[in-house]
Amino acid sequence: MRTRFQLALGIAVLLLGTAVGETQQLDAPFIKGMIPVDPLWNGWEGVPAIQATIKPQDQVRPWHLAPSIKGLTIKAVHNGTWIAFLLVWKDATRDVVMYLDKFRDAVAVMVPVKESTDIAMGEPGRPVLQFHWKADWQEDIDKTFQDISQLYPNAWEDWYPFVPGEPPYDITAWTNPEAQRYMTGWVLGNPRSQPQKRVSVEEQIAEGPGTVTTTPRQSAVGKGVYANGEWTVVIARPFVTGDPNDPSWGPGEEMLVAFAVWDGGKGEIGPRKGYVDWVRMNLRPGGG
Amino acid sequence: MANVYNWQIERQMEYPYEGARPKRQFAAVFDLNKCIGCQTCTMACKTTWTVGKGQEYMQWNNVETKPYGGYPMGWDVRILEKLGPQPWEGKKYVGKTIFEAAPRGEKVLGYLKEELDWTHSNAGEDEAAGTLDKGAYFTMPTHDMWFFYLPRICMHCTYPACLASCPRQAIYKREEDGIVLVDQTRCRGYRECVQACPYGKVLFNPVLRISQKCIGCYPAVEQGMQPRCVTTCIGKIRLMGFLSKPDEVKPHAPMDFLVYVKKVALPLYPQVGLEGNIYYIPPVNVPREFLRQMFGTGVDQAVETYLKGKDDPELLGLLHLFGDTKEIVETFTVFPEAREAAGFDKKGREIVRVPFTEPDYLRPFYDDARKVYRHNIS
Repeated sequence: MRTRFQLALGIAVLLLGTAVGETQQLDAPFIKGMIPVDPLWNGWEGVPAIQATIKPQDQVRPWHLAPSIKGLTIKAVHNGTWIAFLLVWKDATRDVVMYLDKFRDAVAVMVPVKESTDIAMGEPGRPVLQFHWKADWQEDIDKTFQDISQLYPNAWEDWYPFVPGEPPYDITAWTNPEAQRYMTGWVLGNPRSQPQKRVSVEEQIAEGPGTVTTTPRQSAVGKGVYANGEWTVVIARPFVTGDPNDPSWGPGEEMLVAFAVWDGGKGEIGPRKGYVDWVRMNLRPGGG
Repeated sequence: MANVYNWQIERQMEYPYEGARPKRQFAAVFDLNKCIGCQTCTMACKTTWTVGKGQEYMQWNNVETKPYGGYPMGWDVRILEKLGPQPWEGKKYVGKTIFEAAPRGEKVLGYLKEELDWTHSNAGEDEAAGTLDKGAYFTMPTHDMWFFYLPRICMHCTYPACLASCPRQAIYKREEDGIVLVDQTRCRGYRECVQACPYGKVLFNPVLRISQKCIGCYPAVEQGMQPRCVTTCIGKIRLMGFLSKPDEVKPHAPMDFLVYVKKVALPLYPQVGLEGNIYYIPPVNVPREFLRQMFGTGVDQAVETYLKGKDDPELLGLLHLFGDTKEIVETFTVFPEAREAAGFDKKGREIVRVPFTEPDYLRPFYDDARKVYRHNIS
């Protein structure tokens, strides 16, 4: 009887330990002036960091039991009206385009819109907001739209209907609406298919797995740079945008935030990802 | 996992969603004995649907040479190899479908096709794989050397693996005609569908960064017209129509007649478990073992029925309606006395009538009116 009691007690302590011990604290200090969107801003050095462990996505099929990325360094600052996250992780390959059998690197920040919710991208009635940085969008912005000429420099196509000019008929030549009808995702407004990308971060809302939707108002910005086998990415957003689904966050608040990271070169995309479980973030007072 | 009934393997099987057959099911029958691999269907599809950016490599319709050809390369042998042994007990398949064989944590057994897999769309397939230094190169009427052309489009499956695998329900099956589509606004280019489709019929567009597939020419089908690949076939090997639910067979509907009544048209790799809706009349010159693996256990009966077709006015008549109208033939009637077959549309209007035997017309070798000799007088 005593043994059984001890065992139960042991399990209770273990569970409690798991629940409390794994919730890391992220301090987001107040800074004066413009929010830094530059990953190489030297002010980041003085900002406290947490080293977060990456967990395998094993809640929604397809599972991803062995994520390629092992850890994520996280920092956050705010200036009273904007918040910025700095995310740094080791990745042996810089994957910035989508070939037929290759994916691109990405990282995302997730916050509950209101009350705490399911780590698996929220739940019905308890949505989450996500700010999803994509290496291919960054490449579109930093260089040029990753067209056939960029993806397959030796490819040759002598003709596309309704497209004037000469090969290689880059996307800028596709001005005729008749030609654009062949470009389904583009003309239907799918953000992935747009040749003119302005930001490398997509703002999304979700109420559970498979429900991720691009928000009508896109307020998040960001930038990622790759050097020495490491991605350094900033994702920033105003606290208040006027959107009814703005999270209840701001200076002096404490809230939950989670992260996900994808190594495109290792087949990671969508649910095939690693994630950082809820982190408790303290937004230090100031500037409000 | 839900349990659904798949008539092609004569049993219940696991599927991620509840079974819900559409009101009508897009279907087609391809007569492989008549395909000459001319690729007119491929070009018709290509020029209609896949001339955009990122679609350069895409063939929603393709024709490959069997046994060695494949687009994507080795699509069939690779999924069969992954599936392992595929035993049948009579008409019932007792092996695993790709849903039942899915590894732990996956919805479907599949694999991501590599870029090079898409680069051999029937290029070089017709060239001899070895020298013919061991005697007979042709001993008619049955020959040791065999091959056939396999034209393929999306199967618009009753239980699509692409739809099952999509983590965000961006793929849907239309209730009105059973056509399976990728929602071009919801798709995020995860390529789970590209991995899951055992037929390799969902393709990724690297410029638009979303996946695309055969749309069954739905704008034509909605107007009562057959798809482009069907109507342009110069060998007249194809007929598109609607297949009834297996327990509501209408013998005068062309698809029902060929698939359910005569059982002369068979599913392609039914053991994968998708209940695909493109049916094939198997080529009679091909070894039966190969055909059984490809089309299931109905092969022997299908070949016998087909070979006796000349004595079966209904079957012969319906086969004559292949490729003779652009409109969808909803029902057909055969007039054995007149040796004619007729097809009717949804309203019962006669849209096509063809004789079993084309009348002969003989013209003089020299054309007096035009003062020229004819090359062809019949």
